[in-house]
Parts: sequence; C-alpha cells; structure tokens
Amino acid sequence: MRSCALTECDQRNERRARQLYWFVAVVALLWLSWLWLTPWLMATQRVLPALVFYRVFALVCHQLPERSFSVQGFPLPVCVRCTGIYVGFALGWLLSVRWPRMPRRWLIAAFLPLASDWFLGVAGWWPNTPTSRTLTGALAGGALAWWLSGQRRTIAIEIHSGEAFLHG
Amino acid sequence: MAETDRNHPALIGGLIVGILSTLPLVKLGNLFFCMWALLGGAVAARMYIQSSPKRVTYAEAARVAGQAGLLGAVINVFIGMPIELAMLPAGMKWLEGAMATMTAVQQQQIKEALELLRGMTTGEIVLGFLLPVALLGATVLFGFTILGGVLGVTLFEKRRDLPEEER
Repeated sequence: MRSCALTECDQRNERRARQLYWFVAVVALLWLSWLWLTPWLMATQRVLPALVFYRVFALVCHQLPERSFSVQGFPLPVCVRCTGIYVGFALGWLLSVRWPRMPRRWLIAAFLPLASDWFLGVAGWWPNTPTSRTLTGALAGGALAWWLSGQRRTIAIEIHSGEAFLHG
Repeated sequence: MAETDRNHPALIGGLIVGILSTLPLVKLGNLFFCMWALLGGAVAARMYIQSSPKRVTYAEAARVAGQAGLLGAVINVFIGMPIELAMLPAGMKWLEGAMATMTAVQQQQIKEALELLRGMTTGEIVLGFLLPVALLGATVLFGFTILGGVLGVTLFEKRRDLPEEER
C-alpha cells in the first residue's frame, strides 16, 4: 500500500469519505424522487413510463393501494412501510454526517419494532396502522443509514486504497 | 500470498439472487425488502469470509457481492423477461380484477394503460415495457445485493479490525 504522512492521509481519507457521503446522499434522494415521480407520471397521462416504474417497484413491494400513500389520487409505487424505510434512510444519512458511529446492537434493536409491527399484525395480535408502519420503517431505515454512515470512512479508504478493487 | 477465490462465492450468491428473484411465486420473497438480493449478497460475503485467511474488508465484500449481483441481474433479465412476457396476459387480467377496489380516476387510468398494452405488438411490449422494467429491476437487484454483502461483513466477520493508519 502507498504510504503517506499522517496528516496527508487523514486529509485524503476525509475527502474520500465526503465523496462517498455525497454519492450515497444523491442516490438516496434520487430514489425518493423516483417514488414520487411515478404517481405524478400516471396523473399526468404519461402512462407507459408510469407502468414501467410501477412494475420495477413491484420487485420490492406488494404495492397494495390501500397500504400506500397517494399523490394526485395515485398510490406511490411502494407501501407506507417501505416509504418510511426510504425516507428514514435518506434523512438518517443526511443528518448523520457529524454523528458518532452507531454500535451494531443498536442497528439490530432498531429493526425489532419493524419486525414486531409486521409479525404481530400478520398474527392478528396487533392491528398495525399506517402510522405504526411508517414510523417503524423510518426508524429501521434511519438506523441503517446511521450505521452505514459510521462505516463510510472505512469503506471509502478501502475502496480507494486499490487493495480490494485492483488486486482483490 | 495466494488470492482468495472470489468466483465461487459470487457464483453461489448470484444463483441465489438470480433464480429466487426470477421464479414465479418464489420471487415474492423480494417483497420483504428485496430479501433474495440481500441474502445472495450476504451468502457470497460469508463464503468469501470463510475462505479468506485474513479479515475481509467492506470493499472486498462489496466487490464479491457486486459480482453476485451482476450474475443475478443477468439471470433476471434473460430468464425473467420471457417469463414476464408469458405471464403478461394473466397479470393484465389480475389488474382488471383489482380495479374494483380503486377510485374512478384510478380505474380510468388503468383502463387506458391496459388498452395501451393491448394495442402494442409483442416486439413493442418487449422493447417499450419489459426491457426497461428488466434493466431497471436488474439495477435495483444489483444495488441491494451489494448492500447484502456489506451487511454480511458486519454479521459474519468476527476477526479484529486493524487501526485505520495500518491499513
């Protein structure tokens, strides 16, 4: 591996981590825009691209209209729980820039309310609501983003070191 | 030091992603936050971790999972698209049945969408609808498989991390 003075390395690593931060932030925001674009396309008579986008999101979500938010009378292409996860992820990622690393057990703990809300609902023991689905999804998405954000300096250094990608 | 084999974990992970995301009914597992893609990436990462003599980094796992995701995406496009084409009439029939629960505006739009699809030739459907769906879907699968690989390191790599300045 290339050697460099500590401060020089630190600066370079910080720059790489920042680049990775903005890359993921842009991808997360584009993903959210895509969610809202789909019903808007449908509402504005752009039927074929809307159908394509609805079909793509059918890969990752059941898309039940009664379990989805609506835009101009048309459902988002994912349910409220998925919407919560993606919005939570984007917010968590954007806000976590100065937060300390999150312990792994917190990440697992953050997924427990989502899993409980889903399981208890399926079992018929807890009538989950759009609010509970959205909030537990947002908590899980936000925690995943916070945890990943804590790893981004490590990931950025590994990617740019060339060790993994050039010589693997 | 000899390189750790990346191809075998990527092949197994890719087959998991590709086959499970393509088979009718089985692919519904992806409705749980793209489960098959996450699983394929995590399995590829775990296999790579087990065969590696040193600590596997996030980037290495992401690369192995990326290879798996690429294979899964290719399988999904080339096997999934003909299946989608064959099942399109059934899907349209299902959509007609589901219209009963929709609002009047939604029903009107779905009717227009169905008419649009019925007016297209098979070639137009493949190029204008199924191919974009398959390519965008493959990109989504690829992304989620990489995420599965990164999460796989967190779950399965127990060896101690080196301080950053030593890497």
